[in-house]
Amino acid sequence: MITINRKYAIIFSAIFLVVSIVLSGFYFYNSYYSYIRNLENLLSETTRVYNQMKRAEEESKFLEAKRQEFLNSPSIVKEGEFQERELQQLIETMLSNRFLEIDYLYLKAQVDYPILFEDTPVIYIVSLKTGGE
Amino acid sequence: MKVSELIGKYPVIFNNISEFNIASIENQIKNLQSSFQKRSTEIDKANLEIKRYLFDLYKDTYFLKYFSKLSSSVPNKIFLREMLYDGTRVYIDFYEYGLDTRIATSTVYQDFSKLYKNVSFQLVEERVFFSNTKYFHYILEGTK
Repeated sequence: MITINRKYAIIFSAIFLVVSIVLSGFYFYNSYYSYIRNLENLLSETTRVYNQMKRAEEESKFLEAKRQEFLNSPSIVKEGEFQERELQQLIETMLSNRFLEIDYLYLKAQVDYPILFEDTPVIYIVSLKTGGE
Repeated sequence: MKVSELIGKYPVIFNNISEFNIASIENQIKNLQSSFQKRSTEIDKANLEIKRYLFDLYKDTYFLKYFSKLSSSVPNKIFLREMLYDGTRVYIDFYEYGLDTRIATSTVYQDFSKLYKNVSFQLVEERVFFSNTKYFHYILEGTK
């Protein structure tokens, strides 16, 4: 059996106790800050996903408004003969709607040969139906 | 820093946690993130459907817009002879008058190909029409 001096034993025990306390404290703070850091990353990531969801919701509102814009656009049905100017106005009306569903469109000039002179009116046969409610 | 103080810095999470339990806070936040992610995915999917729908509608008038723009941007006179759209197929038959053609066939083909399939743009006839003025007969086709 090895015997040591009481004085040294007390000093050794005291040093051992201090080192244990310091290491325990270090371990505790390390674990705690590691936990806090991970939690903060989790909070940050969750906030990012939330913001992403909110952006998607905003986009959804915008797209729904565009869809409603189409659903509220008037239906156009035209059959008959149109002069060039009238046809141009009809096309401008159609194109003023950003979204328009064309069921069918048929335009045909009543002349098969090229017309060059401005004062020669061109008549078009038009058959048109557009969607919308 | 205390956990409660940390969460207080993130009001989105703070406001969405009904019962603050420090022992299970990580799981609560993970569940919250999962529900946000699920909702975000659902909305994105619905948005994609509406975008496809609107894009499909856009194709219904794109050929008209494109032809109107082409007619006004080309310095030569354009005469539309025939146009047909049946909900799927686009067919445009037109003439261009001038000393020379000002329509870039490859550009029109590329622009049209962005939205339509089976695109064909052909100069079917070129002839002297009057004096030194020529006409160029084009046919543009594609399907939605």
